[in-house]
Amino acid sequence: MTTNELQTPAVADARCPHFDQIDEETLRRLFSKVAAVRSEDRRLFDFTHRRMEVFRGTNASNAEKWGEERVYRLFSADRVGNFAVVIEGEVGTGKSELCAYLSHRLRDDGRPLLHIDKDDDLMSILSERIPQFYEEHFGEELPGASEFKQLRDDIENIPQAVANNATSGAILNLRSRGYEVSPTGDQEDNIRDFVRGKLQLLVEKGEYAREIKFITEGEYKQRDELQIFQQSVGVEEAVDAFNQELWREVRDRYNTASLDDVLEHVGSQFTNTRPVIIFEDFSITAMEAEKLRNYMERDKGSDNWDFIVAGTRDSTSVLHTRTAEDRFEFFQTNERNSNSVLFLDEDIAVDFVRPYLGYIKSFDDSVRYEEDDSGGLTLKEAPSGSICARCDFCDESFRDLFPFNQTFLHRLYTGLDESQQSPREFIMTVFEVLEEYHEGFVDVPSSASVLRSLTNKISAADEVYEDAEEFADFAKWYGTVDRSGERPVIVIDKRFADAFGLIPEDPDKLPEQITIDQESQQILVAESGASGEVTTTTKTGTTKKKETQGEEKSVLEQTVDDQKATIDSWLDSPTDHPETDRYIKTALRDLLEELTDEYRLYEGQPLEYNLSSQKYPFVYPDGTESPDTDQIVLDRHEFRRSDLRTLVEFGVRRVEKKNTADLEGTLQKLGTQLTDYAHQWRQKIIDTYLEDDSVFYKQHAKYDFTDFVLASYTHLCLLDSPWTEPTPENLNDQFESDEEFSVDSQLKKQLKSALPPEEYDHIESAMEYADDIERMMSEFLAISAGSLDVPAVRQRMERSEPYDVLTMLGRGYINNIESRVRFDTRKSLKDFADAMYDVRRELDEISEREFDEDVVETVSTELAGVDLDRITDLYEGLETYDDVNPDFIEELGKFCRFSQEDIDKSVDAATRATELRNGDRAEQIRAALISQKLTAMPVVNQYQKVPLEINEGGAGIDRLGDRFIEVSDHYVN
Amino acid sequence: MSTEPEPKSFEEQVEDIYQQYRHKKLESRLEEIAETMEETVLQQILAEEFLQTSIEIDEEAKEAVQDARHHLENNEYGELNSIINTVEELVADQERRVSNKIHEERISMNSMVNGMQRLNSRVERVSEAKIEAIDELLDNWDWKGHVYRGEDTSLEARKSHAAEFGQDMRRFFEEARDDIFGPYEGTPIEPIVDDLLSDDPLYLESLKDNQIEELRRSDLESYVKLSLS
Repeated sequence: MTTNELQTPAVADARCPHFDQIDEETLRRLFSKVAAVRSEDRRLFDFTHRRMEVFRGTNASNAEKWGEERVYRLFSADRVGNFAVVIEGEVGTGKSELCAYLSHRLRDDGRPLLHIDKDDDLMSILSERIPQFYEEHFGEELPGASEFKQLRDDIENIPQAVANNATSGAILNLRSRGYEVSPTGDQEDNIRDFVRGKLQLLVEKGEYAREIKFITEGEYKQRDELQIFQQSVGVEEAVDAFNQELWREVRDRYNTASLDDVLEHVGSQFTNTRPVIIFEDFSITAMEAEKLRNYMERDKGSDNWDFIVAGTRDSTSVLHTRTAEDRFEFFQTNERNSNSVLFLDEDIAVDFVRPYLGYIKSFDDSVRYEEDDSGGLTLKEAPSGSICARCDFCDESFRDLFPFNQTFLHRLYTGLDESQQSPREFIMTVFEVLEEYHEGFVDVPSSASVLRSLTNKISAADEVYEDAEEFADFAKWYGTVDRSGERPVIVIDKRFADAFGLIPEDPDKLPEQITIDQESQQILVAESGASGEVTTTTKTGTTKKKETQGEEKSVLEQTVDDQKATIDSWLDSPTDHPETDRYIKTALRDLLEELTDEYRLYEGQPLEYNLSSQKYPFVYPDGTESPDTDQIVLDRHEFRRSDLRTLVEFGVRRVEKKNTADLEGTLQKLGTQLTDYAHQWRQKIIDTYLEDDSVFYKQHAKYDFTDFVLASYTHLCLLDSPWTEPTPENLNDQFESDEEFSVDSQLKKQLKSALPPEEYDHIESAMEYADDIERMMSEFLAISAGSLDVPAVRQRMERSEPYDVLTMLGRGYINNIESRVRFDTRKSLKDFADAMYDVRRELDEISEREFDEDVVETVSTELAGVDLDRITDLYEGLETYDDVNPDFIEELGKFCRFSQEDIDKSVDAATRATELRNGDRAEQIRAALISQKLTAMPVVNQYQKVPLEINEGGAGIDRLGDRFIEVSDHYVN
Repeated sequence: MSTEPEPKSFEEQVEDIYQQYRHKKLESRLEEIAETMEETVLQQILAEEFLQTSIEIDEEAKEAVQDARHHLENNEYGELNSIINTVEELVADQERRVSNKIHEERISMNSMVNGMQRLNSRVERVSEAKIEAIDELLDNWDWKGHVYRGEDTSLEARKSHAAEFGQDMRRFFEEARDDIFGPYEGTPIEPIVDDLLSDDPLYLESLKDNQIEELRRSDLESYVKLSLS
């Protein structure tokens, strides 16, 4: 198929015209994994086949190497008796390819060939393959073939009848053999149903091949209906006997022979040649395989089959008897414990795949090869009139390889993991790249996603990744590194860039790290680390730059470059690149730690989560681990590769030499994206450990963490100032003041004596968190750094009364709070919640038994209305009297040193306590606390010390001055 | 149905205590003032009877005492307290004044009594004990023991005692004087005897001849030594 008008790649975005000519079918056949395709399509095979070499023997170690030709020569037409070549090897190492080669050669020799592929099972072999083969060669139906067919048809159409027959016959046979089997009627019916099911499985491909047994030991043990033998017969013996007789009945009924019998018969019909049977993927079922092997290895002159058996070691294990190993020829395609093969290595990888790519362009002879004796291929000149001749775009060095070049293919092979450097894997990877390009998923083959999992240490400069990512991949795969100049560059043939449309109309739009040399028709891309500058961060945080000297690179810098080069592979499969993964994860963790200010849950607040140092705060979405409750899912694919390169460099430096890591720079580049992750992580912790229904509150109380903070703050304020009503305004006053929180000194004294020490300790423990809680208040309920949002606080207090909030705390729910949530190393949120739980209980107790009625009564009646000035006057007056009780004078004097304000406050407090006493529990608590403080107030104590006395012996008013009056009469008159 | 009295406030209680002590103090002071006033009154009587001197108490003091009494009778203790210092001062002043006046008179009488004692030591016409008693009283003014006696402690009783004592002592004095000067009455030396009793210096040029002659012939001759003729 040709086209008169070619779109050459010289035109931007144009493709190789061959790809426009080729159809999908041909491409698929070209890269088909199915060996039969290559066996059937001679042209394809001949064009693409590369000479093979294998290890002779059952073990590749120190084994002799045989070429394919030599293996072929084993199949002598004059051989007597059966002969087998067993080709063993791992998947994709060329077993089928060798089988195809041998079959092509033997076909050329006129040998009759019977291909058995992996989809064939015993039934299909016996009922279809062999009969067809026979009929092809002898023009008649194979005797007994119809029986097989009949068996197959009957199983498909009347399975119950077949089963009934087999079951009844088997039971009778068993009895003949001496087994005392006597199933009941129901039992026999059940067995028939069971056998019917098995027969149906028999004809379904795959099932049959795997396990030929009608009954397994497990089924025998589990199914009562199958247990027809007496108890003295062991399970293994019973199952073997049952299966044998069932099979015998089936065969006898249909007069079907076993595989070896059939082969023997068919082989005997070939009198002047040796037929060849090829098991491409040997997986004959165990029962038949042994018989087949026995047939293969038997030493009978009349036998004349040549067997070619290919399979993995597991599937061919049945063939490894001493006799077979002596009689057969065994070959290994791959080296021991490896997928490496003799006919494919790094040096010949390009040549190996060359004809596959050349095949696409071979239909009009654009691509033709000349093969030398050693199997090397030389590209012939494109004949005139061919597409290549007319296109004239490609260089001869890559004309047959386009859209690849040699560098690309070589790098692709070496980029495969050593365990995957098998021919199939290599070919399939090339095809997948080609497919992505051909289907238009990528504009440039080097951008194909399948390449990501490959190792490729070539890496363009960071700026190229940043601003021209496609170019970075392009250089990585197509380019060669030139380190001869001042700065290492990756050199690429400009024609490829033209072909893939990589060069924009205005080349100046490309980053300066990409240079287009029109003269040499090359594109030079700066290699990673080629900026000539190394950035270090000193201990003080300043950055310094110094010029590198030529190609001098420290171990650290080399590590950075190496890891950057691994990013693409890591991106595809992090577990395959554990070192890179560790660096990236370390970088992400450290950055998240920085953005969250060491895993603080709220910006600028003390509450933090103590993430285990053994753990990362994230998992990948495609990882094997589900995220823990303290991990988020972080999709590494959401990062641009340039960002990942930045990350890995940061990670390397953090791990290897911390002071060289540019934290600020990295955050600047990645801050936005990482900030989002940081926010997600914080929110997860908050949702899980602070707001979840399982923490803090019982009975699904509709309170949240903010309610807890507010309730705690309220009660701490109450303990700090029991006489200050916990209104929103007063809470704000406390919030605005700089005073340290502490239990009110008078209250403290009282509570310490009223409560057992361990109970009072709860209060002090809670108070230790007061500053932290106040800071949390600023997070949730402040309008500015120094003030609370009073209306918001009011609203919340009305909706969630602080005392009620604390009553809804549940001990078990508190225990569900992760201990890692904490304010600092000594103060966990859980401990604080526990403390508040206990504080609430203690306050309840206090309200019940610690309301000091006497002192309240005393203060509100006796001290109410006291005018301290008047008292002081009286005191001063009394001081003038010599005989006043000295204790009284002293204590009264001390009392007078207090202020009127002291007294008024105490009286007000007493009044308030009286009012609150009969209120709800919260009010009762306040009343009790007020009274407790009152009891310890110095002015009250002092008052109580004043020994008020009545001077009983004092002069009665009535008798005052009697004598004076008497005498004054005489004096005056 | 009785009601419990309302408990007193602290202020009220302190007030009560203050009042108690103030009353006590007032009582004490009033007692002292009363004592001073009493002594003043009794000395007045004693001075009048014995010394034949009338000493009046100032009106100011009287008014102050009257005011105090008025407040006392009306239970105006605050007001009383505010004037009691003044009352104390005024009463004390009066007491001093009376004492001073009495003291002057005592001195005057005491010189005569001393002369009488000396004369009596020549003439032996009077009981030495009587003159001694008078002399002692004038020296010590130890009158309280003679006034504050008996079971009746009222002021009236004491006034009566004071009057009696004063009268008795006056009588003793006058009897003593009469006994000592009686013989000289109607004689030319009668005027000289007074001088002699008062221990005034006797000037020769002031004596008449007959006085000098009489003096020579009397029992005063050895008492009076004419140093000059």
